[in-house]
Amino acid sequence: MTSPSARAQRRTAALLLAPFFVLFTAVTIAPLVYAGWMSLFTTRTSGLGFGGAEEVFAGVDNYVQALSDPAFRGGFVTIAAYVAVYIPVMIGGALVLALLLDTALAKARAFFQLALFLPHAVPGLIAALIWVYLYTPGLSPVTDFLASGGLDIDFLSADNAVFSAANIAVWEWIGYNMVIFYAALQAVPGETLDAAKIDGAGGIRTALSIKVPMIRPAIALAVLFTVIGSVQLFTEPKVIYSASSSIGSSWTPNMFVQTAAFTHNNFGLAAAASLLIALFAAVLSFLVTRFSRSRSKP
Amino acid sequence: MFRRRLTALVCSVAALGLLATGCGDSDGGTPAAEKGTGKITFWSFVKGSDKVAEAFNRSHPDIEVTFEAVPSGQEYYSKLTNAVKAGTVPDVAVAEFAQLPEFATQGKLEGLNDRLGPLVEDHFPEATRELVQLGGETWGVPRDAAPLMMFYRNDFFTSHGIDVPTTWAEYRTMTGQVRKADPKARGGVLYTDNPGLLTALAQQAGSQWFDTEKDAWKVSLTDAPSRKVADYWGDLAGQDLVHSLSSLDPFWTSVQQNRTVAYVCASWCAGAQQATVADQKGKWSVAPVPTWDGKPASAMYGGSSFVIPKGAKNSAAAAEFIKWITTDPEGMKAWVSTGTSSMFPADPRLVPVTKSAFPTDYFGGQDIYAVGSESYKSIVPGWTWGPVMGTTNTAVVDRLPKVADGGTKLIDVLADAQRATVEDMERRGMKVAP
Repeated sequence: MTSPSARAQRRTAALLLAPFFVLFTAVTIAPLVYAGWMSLFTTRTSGLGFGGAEEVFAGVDNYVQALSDPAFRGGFVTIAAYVAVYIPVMIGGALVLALLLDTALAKARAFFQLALFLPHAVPGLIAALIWVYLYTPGLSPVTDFLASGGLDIDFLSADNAVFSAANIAVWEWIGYNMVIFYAALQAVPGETLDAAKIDGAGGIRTALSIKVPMIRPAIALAVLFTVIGSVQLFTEPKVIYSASSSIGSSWTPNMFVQTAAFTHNNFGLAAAASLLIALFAAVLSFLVTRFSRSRSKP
Repeated sequence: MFRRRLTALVCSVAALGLLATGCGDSDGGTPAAEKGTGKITFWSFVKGSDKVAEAFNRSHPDIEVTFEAVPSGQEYYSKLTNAVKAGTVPDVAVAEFAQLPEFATQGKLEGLNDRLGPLVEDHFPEATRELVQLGGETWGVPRDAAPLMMFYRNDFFTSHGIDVPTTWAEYRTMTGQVRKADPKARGGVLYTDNPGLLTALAQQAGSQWFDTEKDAWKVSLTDAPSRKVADYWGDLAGQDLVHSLSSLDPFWTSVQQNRTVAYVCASWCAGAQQATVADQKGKWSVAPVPTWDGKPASAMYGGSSFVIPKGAKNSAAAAEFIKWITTDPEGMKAWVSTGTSSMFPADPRLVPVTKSAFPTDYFGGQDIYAVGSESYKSIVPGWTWGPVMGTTNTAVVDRLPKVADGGTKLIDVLADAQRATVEDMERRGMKVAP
């Protein structure tokens, strides 16, 4: 039935898609299946334990253990607090900066665009290390300066860690998201803006009533990526933890997983907790997508 | 010559049935006699490891050691764990005393009784042997011990007329005098990120956090001596008589800025102190660690051993190498050949080797190895590290900073760690005595 050309087309499509599926299977599906397999086992020994250890089937024990561990659940509370601080500041900041750049007033647009984007070019780990230096009392010129002004802030304490971690991430991501928003703003039709101007809308009114609603899909996407990224929060707090243990080794869910696997040598529990985090992120992104879609419908 | 005579002595004691080791192992038939040859790989993060491997290769043409540097800390133990799983282990690896039982109970180490015979009995004092011999098997050979000592600023103590404390009661008085003399200075530190010193101080007080009874572990992080130590240090921290600091940069910064003028640490701190705060040369002295009753008592804070991971391809040659780097004077010389190290050999007979390599001018010519030797001799025996130290240590460390805030009592931190430890051991199927 199918013509030779259609068949050739299909073959080409398959050929072009193959690399994706091969890689996707190798680096996503296969590890996922392996983690699922691992999560069903646990290491058992007996007596004093010097006779060696063996892997035994544990069923859902590891999942039950993860869910009943206050440290694991506490990680999600940390994430919630972090998101509550981080998303408004970062997305709000990026939006304001993009709108400012977009106004006719902005001078040296290219310079600011580059300057604001530059921190993103610094790898997250390096940025975290530099920030930890700036946070550490006795080493940091910032804390010294604040202390000389009578302001003693311990950036590394458990109470301030949410802000300290969010701050590192804000510097890293604000410029990146600003570029996305700025690009989206370029797509706002000139006629619409002209019409607003004729109707007497000022700069701020135009921004709030025309520009922001028109780039809402871009904002929704940025929020989605940020939320998923936040669930996987790891690098910044891990580096903070290395400088001050006050936040604890299982401050975020991913830190819990790392501690379970590499400090407690409990790979089954780590695998189970990882899958639970993945599930949580999937559900969350589904909800965010649904929510933003229903909101952006006219 | 001396060693042979000692071996003979130990063997004759064994022959009387007092020691349960086979001394016949060293001749014929058993693996111990088979001379190792060929290539081996060697993982270590300890300073001087590369030089030791080179020196060994020069003096042992039959064996070729390839040294691979590894990171220190938790990353290293993860790496070694994964290597055992993957079957890509080195033939020789370093393991700190505290981590050794955990590796052994996971079946990741080769037992060394057959291969090394009475080596460990011959060379190391009881308190050190107990750290590597567990459940009737030898799991590692000690390299360095880490006896406690007290470091203090001689200039500060002299100019303010402060006496060097010999008991913990006097130590408390000293911290008060230090703070009075200089409101910014403190005479001690409670580390907020490292349970090692606290553990050592508990050992010094006579605590035994872990013990094996027949086929069950006994876990007692909150026994009476631990309680005494926890109350004492919790109080010092709570009264702001000592700093509460991370043992890394913040601690050394405080030393640099004259804010820490005395602290308790192990022998290796002498080298670290000298390397990190070079400009305070001549101002520091070393004293025996204070004790509860004034009689000498000490403990170990750190120390490392060498092991053969399970799956090693050339354990015969690995054993030869381990023997040389831990008990041979030439091997010990190679360790300290790279520069300033105040490493204290676990084999007391090798102390002169390391001592001669350590310049004493930083400590005003004081013989710090003499202080170390006295401390090493007085280590309270009976200490054993537990089989889930990763869990025990994180449980302590995660809660330690709250002690400084006044939010938690130190003994409650230990009680929580006790609970987490027992829970983890039972989950792994180990028997824990009530």
